[in-house]
Amino acid sequence: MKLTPQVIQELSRLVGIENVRTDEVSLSLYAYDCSLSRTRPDGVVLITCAAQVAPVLRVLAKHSIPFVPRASATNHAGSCSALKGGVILNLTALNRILQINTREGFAVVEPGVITGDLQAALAPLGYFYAPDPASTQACTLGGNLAQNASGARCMKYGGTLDHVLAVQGVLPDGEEVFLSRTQMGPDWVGLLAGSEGTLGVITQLTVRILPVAKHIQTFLVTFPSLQDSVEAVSDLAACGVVPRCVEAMDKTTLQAVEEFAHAGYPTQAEALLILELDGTPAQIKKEQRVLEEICRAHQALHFSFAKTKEEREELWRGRRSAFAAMARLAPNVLVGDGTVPRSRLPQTLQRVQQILKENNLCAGLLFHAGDGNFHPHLLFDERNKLQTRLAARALQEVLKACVEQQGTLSGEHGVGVEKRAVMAYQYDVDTLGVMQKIKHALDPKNLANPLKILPCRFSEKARVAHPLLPQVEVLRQQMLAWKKEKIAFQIAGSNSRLKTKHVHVLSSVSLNQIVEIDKANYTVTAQAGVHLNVLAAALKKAGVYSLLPAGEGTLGGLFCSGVLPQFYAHVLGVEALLPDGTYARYGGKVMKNAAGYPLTRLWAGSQGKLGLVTQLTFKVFAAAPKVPAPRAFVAMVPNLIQTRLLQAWGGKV
Amino acid sequence: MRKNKTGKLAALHTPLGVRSVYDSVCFCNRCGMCSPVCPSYAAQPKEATSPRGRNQAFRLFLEGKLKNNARNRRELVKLITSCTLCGRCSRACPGQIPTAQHMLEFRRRLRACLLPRTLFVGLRLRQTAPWLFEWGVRCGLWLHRVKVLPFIGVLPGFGWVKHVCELLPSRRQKPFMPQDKTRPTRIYLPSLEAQFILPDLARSVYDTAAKKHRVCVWKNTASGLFEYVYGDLARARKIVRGLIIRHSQTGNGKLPLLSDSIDVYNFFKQVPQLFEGFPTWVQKAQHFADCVRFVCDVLPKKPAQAGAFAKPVFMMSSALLADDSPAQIQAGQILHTLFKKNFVQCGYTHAQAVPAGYGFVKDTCAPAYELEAVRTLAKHQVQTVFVLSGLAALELDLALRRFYPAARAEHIARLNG
Repeated sequence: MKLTPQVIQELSRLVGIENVRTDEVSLSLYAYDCSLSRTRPDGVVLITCAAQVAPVLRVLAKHSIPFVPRASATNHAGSCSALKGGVILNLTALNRILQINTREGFAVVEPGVITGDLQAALAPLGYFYAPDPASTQACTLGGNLAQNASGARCMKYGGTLDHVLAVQGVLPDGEEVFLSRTQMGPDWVGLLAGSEGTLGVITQLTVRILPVAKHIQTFLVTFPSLQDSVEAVSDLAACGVVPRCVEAMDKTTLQAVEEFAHAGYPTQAEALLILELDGTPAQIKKEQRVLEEICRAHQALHFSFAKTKEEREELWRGRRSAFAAMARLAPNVLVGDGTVPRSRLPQTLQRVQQILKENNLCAGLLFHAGDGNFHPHLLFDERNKLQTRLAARALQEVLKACVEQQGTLSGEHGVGVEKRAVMAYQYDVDTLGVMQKIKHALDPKNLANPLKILPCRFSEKARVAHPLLPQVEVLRQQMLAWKKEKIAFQIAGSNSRLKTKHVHVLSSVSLNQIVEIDKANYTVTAQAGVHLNVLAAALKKAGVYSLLPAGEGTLGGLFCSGVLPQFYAHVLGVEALLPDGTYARYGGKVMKNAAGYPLTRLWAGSQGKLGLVTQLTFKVFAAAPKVPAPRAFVAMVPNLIQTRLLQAWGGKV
Repeated sequence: MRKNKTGKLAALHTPLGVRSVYDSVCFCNRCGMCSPVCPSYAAQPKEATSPRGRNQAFRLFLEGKLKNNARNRRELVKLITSCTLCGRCSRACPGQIPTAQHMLEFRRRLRACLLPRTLFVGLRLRQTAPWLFEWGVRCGLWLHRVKVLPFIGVLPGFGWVKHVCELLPSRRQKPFMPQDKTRPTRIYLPSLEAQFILPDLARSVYDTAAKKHRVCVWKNTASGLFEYVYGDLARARKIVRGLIIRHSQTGNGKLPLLSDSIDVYNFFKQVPQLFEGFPTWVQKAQHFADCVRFVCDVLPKKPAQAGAFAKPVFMMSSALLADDSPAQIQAGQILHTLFKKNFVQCGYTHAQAVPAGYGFVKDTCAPAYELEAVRTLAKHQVQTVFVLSGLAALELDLALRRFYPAARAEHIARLNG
């Protein structure tokens, strides 16, 4: 669909005629990102000031023209290609750091600020921004949030999702919104993470900044097998030692890196780990002893640590040049991004190697061993169609293998168009339906980055859902009956915080089982109606600790009431019954998940307005963390997004 | 060799091996690591001014996926003329893709001469009729002294003269024309600007080298760089072939060849790729390239004038083609040793190159790049900026005089007076 002269004129009036490009060369230059996907848009609008975004989107909405927000376009998922044509909104010029507040610990930035530039600005002040994607020097903060990117430090600090405090954005119809984590209600900021521009355009972010750890110790350890290396990391976490980051590479990558960077890595090993510990010197010393013992127990071939800053830099130089080392071996590198529960990493990697062998492909394996996230770097030549097809097919098989191991198809790169098909393999119809409803509620005309994330005709392809538990089925029937009779009802836990006097209350207290305490992955799966006191006692008995306080109320009630927002980041998986009777299952034991909208954040603090949470999977620790005190319960005031979501689900609950 | 009159490079000598131009372009994985270090992207952050965009455009052009019409040609010329050819992108690129070389090749294939016709013809005279060129330059300098030269700038096609007038130093200096030494031990090939515009620079280099060596000067000799960057490849190849033969016939054929311009130095280091497909000539060219030295090679450990420069000092990377050439690294080390903490080291990720000398860009882009470069200097409160070519020093000094008069730009050879 070519842009009409009227549209071009209207856009030119808003951004300047030189910033509306429709020539063939410009369109070709906005047809790609770092993935295999290539689609030429119909126009490119170069945004030069954040205030231009809303009026531009209003013009596009008026003429029903799809658009794709785009910054550095360094993603590996094809999130920036204009599949339905339309307009690319180039946001790279919005690259100002507006404020750095070290006293309060935040920075206000525009979405086009390069992550490395923010780090460079913070470094002299003794602060840093925790998420560190490998492309830090090129990717932007807006892109990081849109893709929910994370990096090597994710194990300790979490991903972008956990470090954005507020977002200013524009919905696809041009409506401006301000979303903050201080507001009561669902974690809307979290919901935007990983939305890949399908819910609107981010125009400003407030990100959390942290003081730089004064003492950091970097270790280099090699193992005779990948399995040993992964088991060592699992045991380390089990002992309560959470390294700042744990990076790993296999033999192929190790040799390529050594040939390229001469970082001094021992090349005989099958696996190499680079670990970093931070904290006080005494703490580091204590943890170092534990680390060394565990590594020796797993037949470590080599154990050393950096004695000086230069040595530390040298150790990291090799890891940082891994992509370069692979990139010089072939014209193209297809980077995968599967994530599995940590304990499943060895068998998954074995399967990955088998897939690569079957497809006759050479690949290096890099992984963030701490969170079960691995990146196969598949080498191929894009000009060779057969090889390209093989690489794409192998990647899909790898991702399916991850899903089979209770993992996810993306830990940090997003879904885009390249992994869209695997979404149907990972999620059932109801869960994909929830994601579609979110998209439809905020973008009814389907203009914002259309055809991304959700697979086409997923109702036919989506995986078969497990049957519902009898207790959940009872609740579902009750809910549907009330809806049919048009009886207003309230969703609640044990009603200890909500204190509703509603006659019709749909309560989760019947769901009171602790499903699993998994000490290998350090996760707990429990039903929402489990009493907090019961849960605390069970965890204590198992020798693990969570962020949850003991006391009144249920697990689901605490999560949905919004009184403990610190807990949101610990929730890895959620199951919920929706107002329309569908049942969504999202996440699991994986430490990070960038496959689709982060649904855990939709129900976090939703106060029963968006459905009934039935089950949660969350992180636990070997050592007791500092438990924050829950804040006072305040009833939420529905905002624009929530009103639209409720409308999409068919009215008030 | 005679048959090789093609205007295209047969292959590129990249850091990761010899590759055809198309192969080399195809190695771009579109990761975008090059963009933040590119001066043109820093000034105008859009895909058409990024190295990734340039590579992709070239690839589409080579694959015939862009329509051959006037509008596309215009856009492509804009795209390539915004590149300063500094080569920073290659250093940041995981695959070390030589985007600057791609852009030069792209220029040739589009037959895009970026220079005004009159300037192009004038400069080409240096190769075809050196005596006429020398006479023309002398006339020009005389006209500049009597303040008539700016009036020529009003003539159609001579607009560039105004810019040249701004660059030319006002004081009178004799062109650098020393007598040749017999049985030389070193050859000095002065750059165009060092010979005619900054003869004191050429004299300084000559005197420094002459302290230890018997120096033979190749006066008013074209290096082929001008033809390589702006003209056609066959002509550049012919000039270089002449230089290789002349070099092999001077002394024992192994004399080090000294250059005061990093642009010429980098070009000479890459001449073997001009002869790809002709193994004998590749070998000869490689020998020639191995003999090329930069002026830092003859600088004493404690240069005479090092203390005379206002501090802090900075080294502006405005080199053509290779940002991490050995000469540049060597120059950085010299400055670091001399000025220690007063030498501001700027990571290569800072896109601060200025389009000076042979990194000529269209007038529409240049001011934005200059401002970006000056902003970097002002941010570091720099007083003296060392550059590695005379033309770059003149260009940068002009930008500093306009926007940041507190700083001066100097050629690194000035360290010795």
